[in-house]
Amino acid sequence: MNDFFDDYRRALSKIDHDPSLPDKTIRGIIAGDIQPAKASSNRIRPTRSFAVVSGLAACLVLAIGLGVLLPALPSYLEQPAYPQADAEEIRLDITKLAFAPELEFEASHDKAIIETNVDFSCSNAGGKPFTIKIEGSGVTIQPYGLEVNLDGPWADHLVFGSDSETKCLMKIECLANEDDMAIIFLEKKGSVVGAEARVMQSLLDVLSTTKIVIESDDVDSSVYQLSPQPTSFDDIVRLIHLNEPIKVDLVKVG
Amino acid sequence: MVINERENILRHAVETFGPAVYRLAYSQTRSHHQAEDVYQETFAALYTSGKVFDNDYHLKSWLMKVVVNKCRNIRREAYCRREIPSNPLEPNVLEQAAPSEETDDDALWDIVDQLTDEFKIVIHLHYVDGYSTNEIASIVGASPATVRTRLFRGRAKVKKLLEAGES
Repeated sequence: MNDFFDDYRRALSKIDHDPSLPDKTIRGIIAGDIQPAKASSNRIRPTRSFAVVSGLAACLVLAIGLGVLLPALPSYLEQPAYPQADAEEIRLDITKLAFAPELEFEASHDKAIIETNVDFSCSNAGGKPFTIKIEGSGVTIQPYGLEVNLDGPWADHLVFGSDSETKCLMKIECLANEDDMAIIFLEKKGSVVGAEARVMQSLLDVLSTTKIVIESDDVDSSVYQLSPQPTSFDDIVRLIHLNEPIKVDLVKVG
Repeated sequence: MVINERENILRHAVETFGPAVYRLAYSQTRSHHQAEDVYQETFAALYTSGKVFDNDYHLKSWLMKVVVNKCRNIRREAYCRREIPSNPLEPNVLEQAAPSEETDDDALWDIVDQLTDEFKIVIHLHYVDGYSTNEIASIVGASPATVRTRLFRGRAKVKKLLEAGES
């Protein structure tokens, strides 16, 4: 990989401009013959037919949208603005977690390749009750059944004091490479407004305390935990995105 | 006095950062003609802006940002007009003088050309010009996290293409 970038730098070093270009450029600019292009001169104006077609398409989309939304409007208006929960309650709803079907587990259960997508969203406004929900989609890996247990003290860290609504989608992927290590990275998948750091920290805490339960008819059930546990979200993101992935073993804990 | 200062800044910028500007423009457009246009317009923008920079580092960063934006405009205009992209292997004066060198790098450029523009920019700025992700974020107008993601995915894409080429 590094060879490629060395080659890229070497190839680029061969790329050079016409030797007369610098002098020509300087003289042209000073003389006023070369001027930066104006944005307005480059604007592409739509033709009349394009405008008509676009307008019709917009009307069609609007009509379809209204047709879908209007029937659902009465039931939507009846819903409370915020989930009916106590202010101190944090409800976790883990419906499903996704694992790529091609993932493999060694019979010894001392290593795993895991890919997990977790959509994470939360909202809070003025200290009102809020809900944190973690959900995804799941695929059972054969011959092993796989389950991720996200119970743990990390829930205490999901505290949001912001007055603004916070929504985000996070992706957690755990990939093991051929060196028997799990590679983990978190990736923001959507826009995040406020409290991002706390959300990320919370997810880090999720990772830190995630236990992976592997059950099978063939072998004894086992519980694995990430080791060493991640300590810094920034470290994880920085290291991994710069291709120095943090390597975490899955250690049998039960 | 002011005009002389602007001219001095222009001359200094062209002499010091001209090659870097041209290479970034070429790596993005893959056309010597368009790279020359970007090159000239970038320095023209510097001259007309009358900006004074604290140091060369800020000057170079500003130039890189202008190059990125101008390359983006070129792509946008080409898309709006449905232009057929220029031949990436079009010869220029220098290549005609040394055609064998370009041929050696065809496989490499094939891989680079398969990267999307957003990956090419961050890879170039990081691995060629040595900018950090925060600096790249400032240049391309994205968040540092986005830049890190693009770097990661760009590298993964390169790795995949390299493996595909080997097999």
